[in-house]
Amino acid sequence: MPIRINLNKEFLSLDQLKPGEIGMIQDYKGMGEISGRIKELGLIRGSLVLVKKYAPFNDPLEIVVRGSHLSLRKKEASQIVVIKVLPKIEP
Amino acid sequence: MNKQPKIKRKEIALVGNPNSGKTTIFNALTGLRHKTANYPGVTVEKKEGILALPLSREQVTVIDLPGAYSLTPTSTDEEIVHEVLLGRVVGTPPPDLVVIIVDASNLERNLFFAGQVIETSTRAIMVLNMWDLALKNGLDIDLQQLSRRYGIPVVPAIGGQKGGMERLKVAIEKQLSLEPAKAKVSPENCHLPLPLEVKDMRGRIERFIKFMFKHNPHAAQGEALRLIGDSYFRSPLFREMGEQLKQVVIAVRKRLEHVRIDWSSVEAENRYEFIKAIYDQAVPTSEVKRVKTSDRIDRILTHPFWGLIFFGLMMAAIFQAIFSWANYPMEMISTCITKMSEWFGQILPDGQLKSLAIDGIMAGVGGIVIFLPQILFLFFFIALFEDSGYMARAAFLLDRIMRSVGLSGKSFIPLLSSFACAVPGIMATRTVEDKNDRLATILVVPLMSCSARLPVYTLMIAAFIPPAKILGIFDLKGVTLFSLYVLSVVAGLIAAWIFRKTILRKSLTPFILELPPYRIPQWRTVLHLMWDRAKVFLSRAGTIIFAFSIILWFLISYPRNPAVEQRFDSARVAASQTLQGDELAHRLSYIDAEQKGEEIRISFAGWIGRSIEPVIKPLGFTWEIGIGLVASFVARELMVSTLAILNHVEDKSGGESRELVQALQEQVSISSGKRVYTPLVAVSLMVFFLFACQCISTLAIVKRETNGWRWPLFMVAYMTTLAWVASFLVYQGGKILGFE
Repeated sequence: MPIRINLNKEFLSLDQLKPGEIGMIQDYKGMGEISGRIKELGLIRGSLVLVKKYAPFNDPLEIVVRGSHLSLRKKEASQIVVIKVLPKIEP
Repeated sequence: MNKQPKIKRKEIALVGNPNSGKTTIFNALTGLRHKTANYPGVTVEKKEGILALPLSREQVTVIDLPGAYSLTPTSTDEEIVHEVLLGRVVGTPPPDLVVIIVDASNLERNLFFAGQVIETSTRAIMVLNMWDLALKNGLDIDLQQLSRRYGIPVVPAIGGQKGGMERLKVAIEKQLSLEPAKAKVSPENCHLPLPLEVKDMRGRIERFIKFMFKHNPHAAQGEALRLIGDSYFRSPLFREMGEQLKQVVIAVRKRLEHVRIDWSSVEAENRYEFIKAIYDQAVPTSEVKRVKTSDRIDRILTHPFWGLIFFGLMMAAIFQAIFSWANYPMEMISTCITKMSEWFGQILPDGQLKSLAIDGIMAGVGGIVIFLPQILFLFFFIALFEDSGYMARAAFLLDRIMRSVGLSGKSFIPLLSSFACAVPGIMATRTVEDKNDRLATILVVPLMSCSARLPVYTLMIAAFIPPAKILGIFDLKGVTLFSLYVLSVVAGLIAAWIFRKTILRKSLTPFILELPPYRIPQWRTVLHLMWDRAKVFLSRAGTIIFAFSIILWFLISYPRNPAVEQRFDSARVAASQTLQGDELAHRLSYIDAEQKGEEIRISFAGWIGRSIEPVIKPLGFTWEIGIGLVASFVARELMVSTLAILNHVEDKSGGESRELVQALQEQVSISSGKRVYTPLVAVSLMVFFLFACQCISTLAIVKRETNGWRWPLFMVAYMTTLAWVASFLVYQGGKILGFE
């Protein structure tokens, strides 16, 4: 899938992405504050993350990373810094 | 037990990510006969089976370890995997061979844990499970390449259809026959390439912890790397080695920060980089078709609106099964128990033994066995949800709602289960990873109104709630019952909220949930799980209930007073002289019942009932009710039969007995001469019953699951207090408002 990195490089947190949008992980807020488990499941710098959908009441969210579907709470997702990448694909 | 000394069987451990199909492979390898035991000191089950090797017919033990994502543990389950694989369980060397189950359709992520395990094990085999699914997804995995890079045999398998099992068995036999040094083709291959600075620091920690790994010295290196990134200090090593190790690790982290290395990601980033190199070689086709079926199902099942509707329907189905379909087998069991009691009554000579068998053991154990059908139905659904992948979706849908009271989405099913019986509910909390989440769930589970309370409600409502209508349509009796259920849910949620705000504040595990692709449930797996749970329920809860039933029977039957026996005996003689036929039989059974009542009154239980009277008087209870409360500790529904005994009526058909209803309505207290029950007392009693922890099986299972008496005792204390206060408010408040 051809991917173009968003040129204006706006840093967002993962929970700011809308369903169907893809982000590339840049960094985490706070050193070692977020659980290591998130990284062990493949959410490391440079990983592409597709936000699939939000649960009822907008929390938690479902993401797709490395082909596996995971669910994170907004609290954790807000600690992950991403830039939006194109293209937007259908959820 | 003194057979000839046997050579210890070789041990094979099965490990893998959750949802990798590990259990199906375990079942396929070992067949139907499993042994479950507990690991010493923890509540994680150790599941063992026997495998006969294909050529030598040598028997080896296969251990099914819990699913894990990493050797840096975040739950009790994962801690066990860590301890077993690293050879740190007291008295147990590391397994002779580790079989790593990998979901071939989700290879990259699964290789993370696989890599960690390969590094620490002397002999290992990788099983690419769900091989068919991977092919369907268009993944063309080069087995030889993978095997060469990791230096271990790689076997494809389709666990659900027992595909590839012969090949796997042969590979197992071959690996076990090799010298450890030769078992890995080239172990150097799988050493993680790391920046020099990180290697240095890893060495520093490794030297410090090496002595902890006497059984498995090369496990120290991998552990050292993991300790660097273990930001919450969850490794059991931190507990054992205390501050010293912590200081070393913190110093290492500072040092890495100094050279701008993110210590918290160092393992994950380097390992995934390493995996990517292997993956790109072993899976040449980059064009991966995604399975769309799962996504399509999820469009409805996790839809913010339709998802909840579907979930509601599923719950309704479970309720229907538990409260309606389960009735038939329950009635059959009930008949069996009655028949057995009668049979005991015939073969045993009159006396203490007979009384112990019938009134003690049959009543106590029978009262619990009767819930087996409900429990089987419940676990059937739970197993179905788990095996199909729906369980994770339910947690996803409900997490936000449950969090508003401080629980997580995974707490919902355990709470729901508890409307049948708290015991399986507490057993089902094992899926809740976070320790405090789980404890809070366990603590409120017994507040959910279980079906053992139902006979008491039915009896009290039948006897004391007038058949009025509310707003012209709702039957007051029905409304009363419904309010009790609502009250139980509300109280449970409030209690959970309070616990999470006070004694169980911290969340230790982040909520990360995998939503695996939907799968058609394997009937074998579902039935296995049902059977396992039923066994736990019957054996573990059963033994304790058995013991307590005997104790309680003793309290109810002793001390005995020969004078009382004589008096009733002479009454019997007098009756048989004056009466005949039916009239005589009737009179005799009346005397029997009266004698039983009298005996309870003078027993230890009667004494307890009287001595707690001052405490329960403000709730409107007399000492007669006190005895019932004591008796109902064995099983709640014993309240009904105790009341029956005290009122000289035979409890023929549970709470529906007409005679009993009438007797209760008319019962007059011996000491005060007033009516024992009024509608207000009945309501107060039902509320007390709703909140009080009147159930030793619950306490037994909580003790088992929390590994000590601390939490069960706390549970009794808080629930009894709650029950007392609530009943007090109902009774005293009701009196002030002019109710009777």
